[in-house]
Formats: sequence, C-alpha cells, structure tokens
Amino acid sequence: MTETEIRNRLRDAFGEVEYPPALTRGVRSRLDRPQASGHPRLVALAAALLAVAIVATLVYIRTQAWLPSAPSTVQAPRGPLSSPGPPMISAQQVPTADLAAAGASIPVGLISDYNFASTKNGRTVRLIGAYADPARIVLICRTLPQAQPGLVEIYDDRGLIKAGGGGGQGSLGDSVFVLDQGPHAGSDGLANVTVSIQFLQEMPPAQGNLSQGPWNFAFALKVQPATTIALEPSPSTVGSWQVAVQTFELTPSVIHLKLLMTGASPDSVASAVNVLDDQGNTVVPLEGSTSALGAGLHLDYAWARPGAAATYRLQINGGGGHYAASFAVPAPAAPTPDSSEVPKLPGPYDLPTASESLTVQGAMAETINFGHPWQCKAISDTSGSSFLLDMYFRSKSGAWYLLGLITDLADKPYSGPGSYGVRAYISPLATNGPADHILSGSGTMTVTSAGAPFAGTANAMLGWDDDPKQQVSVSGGWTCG
Amino acid sequence: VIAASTGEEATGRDADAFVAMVEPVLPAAYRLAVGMLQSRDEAEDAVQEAMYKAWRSFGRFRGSEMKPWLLTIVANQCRQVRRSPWWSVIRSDEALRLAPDQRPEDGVLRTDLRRALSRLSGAQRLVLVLRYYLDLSFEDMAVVLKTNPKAAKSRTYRALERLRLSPEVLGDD
Repeated sequence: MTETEIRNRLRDAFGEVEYPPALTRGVRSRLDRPQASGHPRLVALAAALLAVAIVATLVYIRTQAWLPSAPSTVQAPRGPLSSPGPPMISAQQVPTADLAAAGASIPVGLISDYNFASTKNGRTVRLIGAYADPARIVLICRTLPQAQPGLVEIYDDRGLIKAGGGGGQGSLGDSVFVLDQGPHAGSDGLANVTVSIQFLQEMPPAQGNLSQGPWNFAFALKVQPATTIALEPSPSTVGSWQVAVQTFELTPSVIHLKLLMTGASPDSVASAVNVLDDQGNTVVPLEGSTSALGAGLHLDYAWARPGAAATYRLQINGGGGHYAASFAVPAPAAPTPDSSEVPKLPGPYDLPTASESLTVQGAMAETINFGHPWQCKAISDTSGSSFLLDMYFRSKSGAWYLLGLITDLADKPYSGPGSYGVRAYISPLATNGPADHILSGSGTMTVTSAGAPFAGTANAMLGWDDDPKQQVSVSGGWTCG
Repeated sequence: VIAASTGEEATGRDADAFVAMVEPVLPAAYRLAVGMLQSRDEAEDAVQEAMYKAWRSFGRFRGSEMKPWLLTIVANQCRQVRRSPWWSVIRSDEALRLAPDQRPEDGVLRTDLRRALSRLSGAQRLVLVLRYYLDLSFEDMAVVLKTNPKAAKSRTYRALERLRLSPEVLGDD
C-alpha cells in the first residue's frame, strides 16, 4: 500500500472537519477564566456518569445491525478463555451498587450470576453478572485496582455485535458495561456469547493509564424475550416523512423502538420522537441513536420500562406533521421463586445504627462514623469460642459493605475482654444480604467491653482476593449491641 | 511583551495579543484534537484548554517557532482527555454520516478502521494524526514529539503496522 493510499484511508477514517470560527472567540474567553479544575465538559460528563452511575451514551455504530442479512465476518477471539471461579455460596452475588449502576430498569431477578475469571499479564478480571434481551446486554465485571473496561467487543454466533455502549461504576472493583443491542439467541433462548475486553482504563481517569488485555469470556447467556407492541394506527407517514416501524417491542427492561425514516434530515429528527408517560411527561430515553446508512435515517431508541402497568404515548413531530398513538405497558412479570435461593438476610436498614470511629485506607478509603451492626456476640462450638462482629457501613460513593471481624481460634479462644488475633473480611451488599467477600485478611481486635454495648478497637490488613497486593487497612474503635 | 506567566499581571491586551499570535495555528490545533479525540465538541474544549495552558506558560517559551510548541501542548491535552473512561466510544453522529456517493460497505470499512484507530495507544495515534491528518514532515513531527526524525518515522511505521496498513515505503520528505 502506498503512503498516498494510507493517507486517504486514514483521512477518511478521521473524517474531514472545518475549523469552527467561534473557536477563536472561545480561546479568547478561556484566557479570562481562572484555571479550571479539569476538562470542563468531561468533568460535567464524568459527574453525570458517576452520579447516575450509568452512561446511556449515544454510541456507536449500528451498521451491521441494519444489515440483518449480512453475517459479520469478524470472529470471536480464540485462545484461552475464562475459567470458572470457585463455587458461590449465595444465589445472588451481584452487589446492589452494581445494579444501580446498571440502571434501575434491569430486573434484579433476571440478572445471571456468574463467576468467570480471565487473567492477562497478571491482572485478573471477573465477570460476575450479565443480563440480555433483544435491546441490550449488561455485563458486570470486577477487578482491582479500580478500572473501567475500555473497548468491549461482544460476539454471538453471528459474529461481532456492532452497537454502542456505555457504563458506570458500582461496588469496589466493579463496573457495568451496557451494549445497546442484544445477542441472537438459539431456539433454547440462550446465546453463545464471547466477551473480549480489549483494555482497561485505570481509574480515576485523570491519572489513569490503560492496561492492555484482552480478557476473554465465553458463556451461554439467557436472552430475555421481548413482546411486540402494537401501534394503532401505524405511523406510515408523518407530514412529508415516510416512517417505517421496524421494531417496537417491550423487553423486561426497556421499551425499544427502531424506525426507518425517509425524507428527514438528521438534525430534524433529533427531538422528533418522544414517549410520554401517563401524566404526559416526556420519558428521557436511556439510549438513542440516529444513523444514515443507505436510504433514509435509522433511529434506535430505548426507554426504561416502568415498574408498574402504565399507558404510554408515542409521538412523532416533524416534516410538517404530527403522529401520536397510545400503547399499554403491562406490569413486569413477577420473578419465579427459585428454591435454591438463600433466604433474605438482614440489610443495613433492618438494623439499628451504632457509633464507630474506624478508618479504612488503601484501595478503599473511608471514614466510618456510623455502622449498622448485624452480628455482635460471642459464638461457640465444640472447638471453642470466638467473638464475631459483622457490621454494615456505607461508603462515600453510596455503596454498602459488610465488615466482618471474628477472633481467631488459632490464636486463642475468646474469653472476654482482651486482645485477640482476628480474621477480617469485607463483602459488598447484594440483594439478599452480603455477597461473598472481596477482601480478606487478619489483624488484632481488642474487646474492652464484653457486654452490651460491646466496644473495642481493631487493626487489620485485608487483601483483594484476586490480587493480595491490593490492600486495605481497617483501624480504630468500634461499638455494637 | 506578553506578561502572562512571567510574574507580572496579564492584561486583556496581552490576551488579545496572544490570541492574535496563536490564531494561525488554531486550525491545525483543532484538526489535531479532532483526530485524537474523534469528537468535535471535545476537540474544541481541548484546544481552548491547551491554549489557556500555553498562555499561562508562555513566559517559558524559548523556541523560534510557535506551531510545534502549541501542537505539543494540544497533544498533551488530548492525552489527558483520552484518559477519560469513555474516550473509546465512537459517536454515531460523526461515524455514520455517509456522503451520497458512498456505499454502506464504505461506512463499514471506515468504521473498522476507526475502531482499530481507537485501540491504538495515544502515542501511536498521535504520530498518525500528525503525519496523515496534519501532513507534517518527519522533521516537524520530531519537534512536536520531542524526538528525532528517524524515530518519528519509525514510530509511524510501527503504528501503521498495528493497523495492518503496511506501507511499501515511507517518504523522507
């Protein structure tokens, strides 16, 4: 290939741009402002992303999605894939903070718990949960130091799924990635999915570097079914626009609409399609994209499904015309009881608060002034007695964790006030109580008051289970009971 | 004399003079930022931020040519922006607007190349932007990259290899 050909191809990929004249004025006005704390647009974006903990960015490239008859030629990565992790002790391991990051519209009972590990260059990434329907795929990954999956490629039996995506951060080490397109399922409702995380963006982004992967996972993923929503009348024309509804469906998580519009410009359709709730309020879409490929514009929108039965309204305004039709959204199906589920354990709000003065440092940095002690007592079995303190605390980010401290029989049996060797662990809060621990270690605990209220001090060092070099220290005073 | 960053109080007139001085370079700076960030909005922000930094450090500028110095600052600013977790996202509004004479397949090819570009490191992407988007010679690239022309050429070759765009030969300018 000649350098001229290379130049032409790269320029085509970069895209041609014209210099915006207003930029000179923007530069001039920037000089009058004091030093910004960071990139203004990115800071705002990051704040929005981290606050809401979900990116519903309009992203990417739906070319292949709009060419249904052309199977992708991009094949899933080969080579070592994930390996099953240790058996889980709880049926629901996905932390509640991760569910929040995945968006409130994801039905909790429909997220599949996994524990797949993939290691590259000494760095282990775990896939701990996933959800799919025809409109989206949600992946929940875990690794420390804190990082976001960078370029994520997801393949099904037809090849690379080309769609946009976004994500957010959940519990310590956890991140959520949402792809705005579901996988193709077989007749059994399962899709054979391969996920390839090409690199990790270390956090925080201002100082973070990239860690090269890939981390690959291959697994079967249940694709939750969608039901078609009937529109009466169907919007065949809106003013001068020709409109073809390609998909209008209800998944357990979203209302999903795909339209083909001809006669409209990209700018004119930017806010032309809206869904209104029972009260006539515009529902903000979770995702939305417009792409020009071949004839017409392809619009793809997803709105969060309401948690209860409702009557919504689809509106299209433009081309000098107006279209509106109501449609019913039934209440989501109640989750099927699973006999293997563990009973729901007490959460922090089921428990009283207690004053604490604990400091957490290292991979997790928190000051714990209040805790919600769950278990705070001496326990005994045939091998001896121990003192157990299990206490929920809330991090600065809003995520809940359980700190567990239990005096170590290998040191000495518990026998009242005194100092003891202690085993320590930290678990994120999941739907039915604490999930498996993510940090574990040892230290010392002094019990100064052995009757309600119990009190004492603790000093422990905990390591990340997949990388003991990632450490967290816990020290200070505690009370409970 | 422009007072910014020299310890003296900068004035509005200083700022005007600085903008007049950098204005000829702004189109290249903007183009560099677009190439690095794949987003026009973020590119505008990056250029503004970079020019602010250049303004604050102008007192330390000792070179004879402003353009490579400014482009270096813009490139550094873009690297910072790219560290944001979402920089790899390819925005649909810019990725998919095909010209009337383009076939969908063209869009897919371009998309694949854009994806491949997004996987390059910031340093590798920078050399390609400088060479093929700004049309800089290896000598000029070397100034921006703070290296020598031979190393700039070598880096360009390696970045092309990563994209599987193997060049027959790279011109020596």
